[in-house]
Amino acid sequence: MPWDPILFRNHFPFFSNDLDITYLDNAATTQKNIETINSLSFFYSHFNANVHRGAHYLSIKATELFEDARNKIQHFINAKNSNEIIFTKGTTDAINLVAFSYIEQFCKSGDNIITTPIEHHSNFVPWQLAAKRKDLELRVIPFNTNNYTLDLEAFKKLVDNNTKIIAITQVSNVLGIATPVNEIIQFAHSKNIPVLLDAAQSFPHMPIDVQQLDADFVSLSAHKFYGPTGIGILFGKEKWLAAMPPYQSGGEMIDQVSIDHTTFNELPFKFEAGTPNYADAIAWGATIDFINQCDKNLMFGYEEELWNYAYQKLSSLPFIKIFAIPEQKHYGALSFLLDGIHPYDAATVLDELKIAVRVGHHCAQPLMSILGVSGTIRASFAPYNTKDDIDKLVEGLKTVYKFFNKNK
Amino acid sequence: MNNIELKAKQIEEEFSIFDDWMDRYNILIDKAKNLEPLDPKYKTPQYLISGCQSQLWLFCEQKNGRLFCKADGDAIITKGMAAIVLELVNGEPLDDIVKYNFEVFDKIGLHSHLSPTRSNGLRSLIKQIKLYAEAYLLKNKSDD
Repeated sequence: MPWDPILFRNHFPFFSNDLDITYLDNAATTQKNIETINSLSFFYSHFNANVHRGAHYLSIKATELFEDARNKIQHFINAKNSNEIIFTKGTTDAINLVAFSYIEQFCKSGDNIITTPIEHHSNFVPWQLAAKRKDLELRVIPFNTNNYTLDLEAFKKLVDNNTKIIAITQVSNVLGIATPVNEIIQFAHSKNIPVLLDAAQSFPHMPIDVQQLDADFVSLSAHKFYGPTGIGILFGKEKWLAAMPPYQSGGEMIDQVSIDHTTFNELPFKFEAGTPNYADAIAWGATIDFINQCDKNLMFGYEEELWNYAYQKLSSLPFIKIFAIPEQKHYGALSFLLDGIHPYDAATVLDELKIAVRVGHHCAQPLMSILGVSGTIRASFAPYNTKDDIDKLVEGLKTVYKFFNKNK
Repeated sequence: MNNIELKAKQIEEEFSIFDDWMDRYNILIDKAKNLEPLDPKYKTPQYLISGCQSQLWLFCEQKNGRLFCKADGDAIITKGMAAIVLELVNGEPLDDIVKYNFEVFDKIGLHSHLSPTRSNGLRSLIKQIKLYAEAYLLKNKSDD
């Protein structure tokens, strides 16, 4: 049985509001399924109490649900232990945690960090700041714009005895292509260097198995995959997390405090200072339950089919430049420009036509700079999108082109 | 009613004939094309007003207590919006500019382009023009 986008879309109340919006900005955030929305509402209506604090029934129940959500995420990404799952505000927060705590513990002046120029700023700027703070060098793996690949040979030459961590995205938020994480992790581990994977854009489009990947850290956000905003995780191998000092301090993460000294709680609580976003974590658990009911092979297969359809339709337009090599496999995002039309102008007209796409540098200015553009238009797909949505985008782009060319 | 408000009224009338978005954007595009060019020497980071999605360059000077600005932009719709801003403020007294709040964009249905989330640089352009006007006012007072 093929994937039925309409049946799937029916789970998302956003689309039943009759807004007549063609929503193609899923790499920014996805719409929310009714099960997630209901779970949040039900929790607040029935069980709300602060977690890990009370001996009263509600607090115990809320804690149970919160920890249950942690276990669901753990199993979803196949982590060995639930104490390797740290709840964060999202991907950015998770990367900042590592860029502070790991660097604090393991790096000294003269060491280096390796990343790529195709990162989202969230996986670039925290390392840049860490490098400034601790006098480290930030090294960047060259990206070949002719074939859209990272230069692995050059990468191997960048690694030396002072390389302390490699931080790399699994899927580019602009180009929608995957990076060779297996090769990078394998090589890094042969030198005992840990690797952080930014899975914000991969998590919604491919199965993530952290044990199989053997990644040391993985960051991701719930809201990119139908879950609530403001919640995500850092997965970290226990051996690293246990050795790292706390990131933020306050409630819950404390074991004992005296006037002179504080000892910290065990994992994962050591890294969860203050009241955690337990309600959204619990709702995210409901999102995971929902996703687990879907046939992921069908779902991801359909996404690939949609991307290919979009590429085929868009590339037939004579006035388009697409930033993609069709032979590569793509995950969600498709970036392009229209000849002689600024992306902001294009998006303004597309907005009038009720087509939601993203324009600008997509928080990936180093990539924009090597692509030689100030920004792109990005359409990004989810399994509730249809070929009809893509046809509307194509018609919209024709209107944009005609509008600005009549005006030349 | 001061001169800025009078000009705002005219712009309002110019737009009021049309309710179709295409026509409104056509006016903007015309205004962008008719905008007096900015000398390329001012298209440097010093004069850049950066939005996340589009960029503007702004040069301002005062003559006899009045402000004169020139601007350019990479996106034509943003540039057209900037042209309206310049049409309103150019040659006007500094204190009138400081006081004016650009509600004309509400009235011509283009207010959404000024929202902070648009990040096209227009809000910053207006803020920067007002800052220039305030700075020149201060300078003139201390020169007196």
